[in-house]
Amino acid sequence: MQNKQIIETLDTKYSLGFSENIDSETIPKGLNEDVIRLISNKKNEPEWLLNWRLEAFRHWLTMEEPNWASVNYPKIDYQDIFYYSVPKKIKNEAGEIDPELKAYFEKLGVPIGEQQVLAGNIAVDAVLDSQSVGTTFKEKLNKVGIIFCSFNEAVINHPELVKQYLGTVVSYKDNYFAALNSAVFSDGSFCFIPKGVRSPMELSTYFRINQANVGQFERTLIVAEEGSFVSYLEGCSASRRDENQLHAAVVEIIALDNSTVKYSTVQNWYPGDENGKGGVYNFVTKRADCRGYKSHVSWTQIETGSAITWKYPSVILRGDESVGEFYSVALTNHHQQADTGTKMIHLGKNTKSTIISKSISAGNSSGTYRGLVRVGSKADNARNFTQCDSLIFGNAQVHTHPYIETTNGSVTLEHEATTSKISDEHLFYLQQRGMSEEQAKNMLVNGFCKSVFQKLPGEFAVEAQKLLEINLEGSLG
Amino acid sequence: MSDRFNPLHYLDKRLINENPITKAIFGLSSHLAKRKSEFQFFNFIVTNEKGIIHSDIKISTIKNDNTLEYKIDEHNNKIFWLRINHCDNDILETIVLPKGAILIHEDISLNKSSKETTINCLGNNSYYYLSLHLHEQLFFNKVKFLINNNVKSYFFTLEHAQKHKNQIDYQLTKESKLEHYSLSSIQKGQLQDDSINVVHDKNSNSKVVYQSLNKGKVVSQVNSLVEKESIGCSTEQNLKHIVLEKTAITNSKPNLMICNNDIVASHGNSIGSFNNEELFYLNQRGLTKEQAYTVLANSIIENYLSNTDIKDELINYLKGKELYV
Amino acid sequence: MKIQNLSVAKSNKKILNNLNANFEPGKIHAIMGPNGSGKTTLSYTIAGHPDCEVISGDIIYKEQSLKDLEVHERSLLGVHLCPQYPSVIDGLSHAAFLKEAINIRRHNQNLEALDEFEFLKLLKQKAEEFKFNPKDYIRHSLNSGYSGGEKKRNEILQISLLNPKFIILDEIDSGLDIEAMKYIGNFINQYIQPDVTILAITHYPEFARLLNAKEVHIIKQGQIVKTGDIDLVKSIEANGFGDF
Repeated sequence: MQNKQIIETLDTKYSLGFSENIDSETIPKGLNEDVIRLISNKKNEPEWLLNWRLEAFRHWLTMEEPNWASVNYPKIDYQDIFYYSVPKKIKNEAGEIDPELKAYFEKLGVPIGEQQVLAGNIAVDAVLDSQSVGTTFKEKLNKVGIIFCSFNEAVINHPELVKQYLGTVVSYKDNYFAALNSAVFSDGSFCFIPKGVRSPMELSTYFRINQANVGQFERTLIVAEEGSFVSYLEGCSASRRDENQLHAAVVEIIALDNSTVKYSTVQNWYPGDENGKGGVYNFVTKRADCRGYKSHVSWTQIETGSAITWKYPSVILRGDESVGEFYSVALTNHHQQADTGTKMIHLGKNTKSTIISKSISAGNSSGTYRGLVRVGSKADNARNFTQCDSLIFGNAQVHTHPYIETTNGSVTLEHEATTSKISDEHLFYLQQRGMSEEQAKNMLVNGFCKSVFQKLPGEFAVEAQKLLEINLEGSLG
Repeated sequence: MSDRFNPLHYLDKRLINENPITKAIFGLSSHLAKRKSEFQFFNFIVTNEKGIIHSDIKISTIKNDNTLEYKIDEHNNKIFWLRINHCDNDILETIVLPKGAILIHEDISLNKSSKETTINCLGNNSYYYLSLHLHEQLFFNKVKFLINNNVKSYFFTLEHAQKHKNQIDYQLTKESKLEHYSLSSIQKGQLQDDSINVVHDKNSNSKVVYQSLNKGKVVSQVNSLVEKESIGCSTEQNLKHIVLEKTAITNSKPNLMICNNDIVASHGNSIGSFNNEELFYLNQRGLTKEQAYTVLANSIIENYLSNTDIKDELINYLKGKELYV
Repeated sequence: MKIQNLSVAKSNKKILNNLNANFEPGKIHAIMGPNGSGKTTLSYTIAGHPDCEVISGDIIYKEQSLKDLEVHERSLLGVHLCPQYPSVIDGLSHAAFLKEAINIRRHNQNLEALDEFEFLKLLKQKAEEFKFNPKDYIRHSLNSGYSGGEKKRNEILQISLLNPKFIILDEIDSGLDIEAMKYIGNFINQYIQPDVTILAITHYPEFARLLNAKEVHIIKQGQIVKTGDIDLVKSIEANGFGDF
């Protein structure tokens, strides 16, 4: 297969790259204890949380930035970032969202007023730079006992809950970026689903980076009590900038007995232009703790953006008969780099995990899949199935490292992976049925990713497919 | 230290009875002056039955202390069985395998030691590494292959040291093809640590199958590298670990590093026990769980051996040693 | 064999529901019923498959309860299950496998193991008897590459060799042509003895007739709903299982 000329229109294709001049209040660049105190103060946080931040910061100072991932990036100057930037006008006296903000989000296709409703209710919490600007359907959810609000709000209105669970899945000592996040986290979402409640609608958070040089450090905490169910969606985008922007998030999920949490992400951070200039650095720690008996967490992600992606959504299968799942499609093009994967840690008995990872690497990008399935010595009858497949185009590189480590003999762990180009035979067959080469390739790529798309909630599956097509256009040579 | 060895001068009567299929044996022992008291003992088991093993193994020179260079002469017969018996010594070996030759490289190390071998396979070769004797502590086997044309490589370990480490490097030349099959049986308290690296030149193919029957600890790493310029390659890795003890530890790490898009690559990695349905079938024919395990483990060994071109010779040899099968 | 109030679940789903049956020796019993009625579960439970969870009830054979016996122990007692899809095990030769199976039984009876020579002679004989190429059969991997018919023939060869007393044939007729069916039917008919019990699970009234089954049991929704003689087969042919 010959390499086609890559069409130089990536800029226009990232249609969400616009930026607005939103009047914002910003703390000057730099990272030190004063900045942290200022952030905490502006958010009216209680003493205990400020102390937690400071402890994390002090610990971060003792840590060294990790460099084991197969991604290359210029050294980040942590003093050259705005850690706090919040729109001045969020709500008017009547409690309504500022129309300028509303319009902005509308342009993004995110409805933050309850009048506009997507087909099938979805509750949305919208976060712009360092602040949540609105959460829809809060009252409706409250009626069934569900708490869904911005993290900041949760700290003020439900401090006991936050205190009980914050940092119990990802402690600030866990890794460099988790420590940084714990010190300077801006905003995020808090979801609490009480015993036996099945969330009547999907909950979602949409993160948007608008201001230049603002680091976004979101913190999300989801707690599903016994017997509950929730499906959560995370969407994101950023304005197109020449400088790189850092997004270091932490997501913690706690699932108690018989609960289910489905967490889906369609990640569309600005990936940088075709020369690799600009783009978001997406360094994320996402972890779920299946604490309860028969608890179930599944991560589904479509990753098409960000200049550098470094994330391993993981599940700790603590409770007996707990289930962890990971479905991912990762696309890298031009000069994007991705080092992603998942970790499934089997601790309880009769636990089960499934990993299906598809990656598509084109242009000059590099994609690494790292999977770890670890079975502890008491984890009798652990079962895992992993399938990771990659398609390569252009000058891309693909590395796959699916590791299995067991210290218990009663396990069944299986893994398959393939790396290849699209089959010429299949291409010919489709063309012989009337499709152009481009159409045929798109169809095959789609088929390749189908098993993952099927795991996404309805609307998102369609969006994901479109996103993939846009991002791959002209690169399937 | 002599620098010329004529196998005909030394005949070790001890060897004659060891292998029932041998008709004539040439034994060779060499003293290496620099290392006092140890002596390296190379047994060449040579037989004329069915023209299996050639009797004429010329040893070129001993380069320095522990280096041996074998140049195997091209003759009608093509199977060579080299049994290396070393105690306490670290050895360096260089071997050139002529086209079509089959080499059985049997390792007997009595004490802590290591061996580093470089093998140039000129084409259409089969290489067998056998470790069938219970050794002492640590044995480190490092082998570097230069692969031309088609080469099949078998690493078969049934009994071995407390810690047995293999580092196997394959350098594939243009358009060459490699098939590697490992099978190890690890007892409780033993460690098998294998690292297999395959580097591909243009249009080369590799297939690595790694199997273990594990009651102790296995660490296995298989790396396939396809560099930017290496178009038209294919690589396949298949790691299959069967765990036979609840306390067994298995770490399995297959790695694919692909930098060229004209590629077909795949890997499979699995850890588990025997298939439940097979176990049930055997139980239902009266076998206890342990007996069923033994039967199935043997069937894996049998299956492995049936892939080789010297199946009968190996089986007879194993039977002679009262090992599995 | 007496089955008393047997309730069995598979994957937490109850399949056998207070099933009662009396399988007298010296006869061929045909077991018939619609799909999903529990025929296979019944046979696997008698054999002791770990997936079949006995909730309540018992199975009495030779005046013993089978409940606490392991799979291989039941086998040594004489219980033999011919699965619908016999396992294929590459690398395990017929010789190796059957020698092990025979010697286990001999050991159980305090007899000396058969020596290699004698065993191979016996096996070659049997192979020939059951229309396999003896030389090839010995070294051939268990059922490897065999057609459905060959696999079933292999199963009855095993019966002939191991002499079990309680045999369950799980749809042994499935996938066979008329010739093969007759061949197998013939063997089964000849095998029956006063101390031998045969359960033949089948979908086909034809086969039940071929076997000249002395008793026909109809199983539906996890219970035996009717037991009768070979004439029961006529109503099944006419009206299916609806009437029961």
